[in-house]
Amino acid sequence: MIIKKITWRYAILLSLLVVLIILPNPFTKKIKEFLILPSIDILKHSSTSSDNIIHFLKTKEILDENRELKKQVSLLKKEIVTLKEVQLENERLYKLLGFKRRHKFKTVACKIIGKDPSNWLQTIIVDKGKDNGIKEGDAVISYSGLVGKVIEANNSISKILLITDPSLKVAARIQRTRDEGLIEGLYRNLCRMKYLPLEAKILKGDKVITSGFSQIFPEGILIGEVVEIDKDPSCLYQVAIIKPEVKVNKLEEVLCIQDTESF
Amino acid sequence: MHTGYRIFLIFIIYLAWLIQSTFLGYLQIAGVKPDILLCIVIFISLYSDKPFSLKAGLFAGVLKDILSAGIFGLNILIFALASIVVSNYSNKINKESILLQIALCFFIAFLMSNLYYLIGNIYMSFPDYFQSLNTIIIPSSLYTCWAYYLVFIILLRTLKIYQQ
Repeated sequence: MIIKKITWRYAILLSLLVVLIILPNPFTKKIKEFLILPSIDILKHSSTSSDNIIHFLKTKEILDENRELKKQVSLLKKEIVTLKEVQLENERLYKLLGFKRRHKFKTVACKIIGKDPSNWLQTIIVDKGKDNGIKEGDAVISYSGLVGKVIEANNSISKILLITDPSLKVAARIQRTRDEGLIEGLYRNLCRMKYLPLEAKILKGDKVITSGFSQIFPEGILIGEVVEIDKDPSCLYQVAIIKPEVKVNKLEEVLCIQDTESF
Repeated sequence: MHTGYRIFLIFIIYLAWLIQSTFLGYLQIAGVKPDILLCIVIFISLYSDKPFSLKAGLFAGVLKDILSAGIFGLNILIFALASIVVSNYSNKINKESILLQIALCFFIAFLMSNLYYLIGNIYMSFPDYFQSLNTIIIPSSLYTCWAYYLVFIILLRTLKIYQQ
């Protein structure tokens, strides 16, 4: 009955749209880039305005948080002094044992100007692109942990796939037990860590870090903590539900890792 | 419908797209946000003629697609279909009843989410259907139909002002 009502004009239009869907990705990417160009500045301004509105609405919460953070800063300053000593000792031992050196990252700070309008893809849009040296596949972090990776880099903006998206897989490790597994997104701001050995003694609250086995994500970046442990239906491995350290829906700035260099 | 009001509706779609891609991220419930663009397209399809509602649907779809990292054209197709389906049945729907319109919005949002899952799953990796139903399809459809109530009140008031 519906088909009868749809006129030929509609049928042609819908067929054209189906053709648009199956067009190759590089071609559609250029169309997207061309269409987004006039709106980039408006998007940046509206993002700043919406952030300001949120900040205004949460003034009391921010003041409380500020007080709490000041306390934490003074504690962390003491900890830094201790850790600096450990770092120097660690470096000496690295040299002594001839181990491969660790790396530090060369990063680009990006401001989030938008989020994917749909619920299906967990992506964010940042204000830096190829012009600033960002390329597809770059890892993205924030001050608190892993955020995701760049999946689309245009000249002036980039799209980042978040760790809560089911299509992003990250090789990870439980920091305490050193057990390794694979993390994938689970929506609802959660992740799932699969392929953990059955004998692994994982506890709630255990921290999860990147294992460095993938080419994209450097080793040792904090991902989150275990909130639930269960066996896979196949009973071949354990599955842990991970709460990411990064609050993906409240992110405002991120760091895009461009390169790693020895220290 | 007055031409001035049509231009106003196009502007409203653009404004809704900006809100959808920035501010609504803060108003997530259970990890989902409402689709206010779909709400506006449904409203236009109910209160306007077929050609304009199709144009509005296409415009909203293009806007949604350019910011999405997914397949380009999928949202355009979905919004065009939504506007065609709703405008075909707009004469049979009692426009006085807000509850009926909310129910229609839920039905369309549910139908379009399923369509997105079906086509999107060919190109992207979504979780299995029942997990997607629980985490995305049902929560977002419910949130969208709740948001439709607000969109309906705002747009109907502006429509009455224009008619006066």
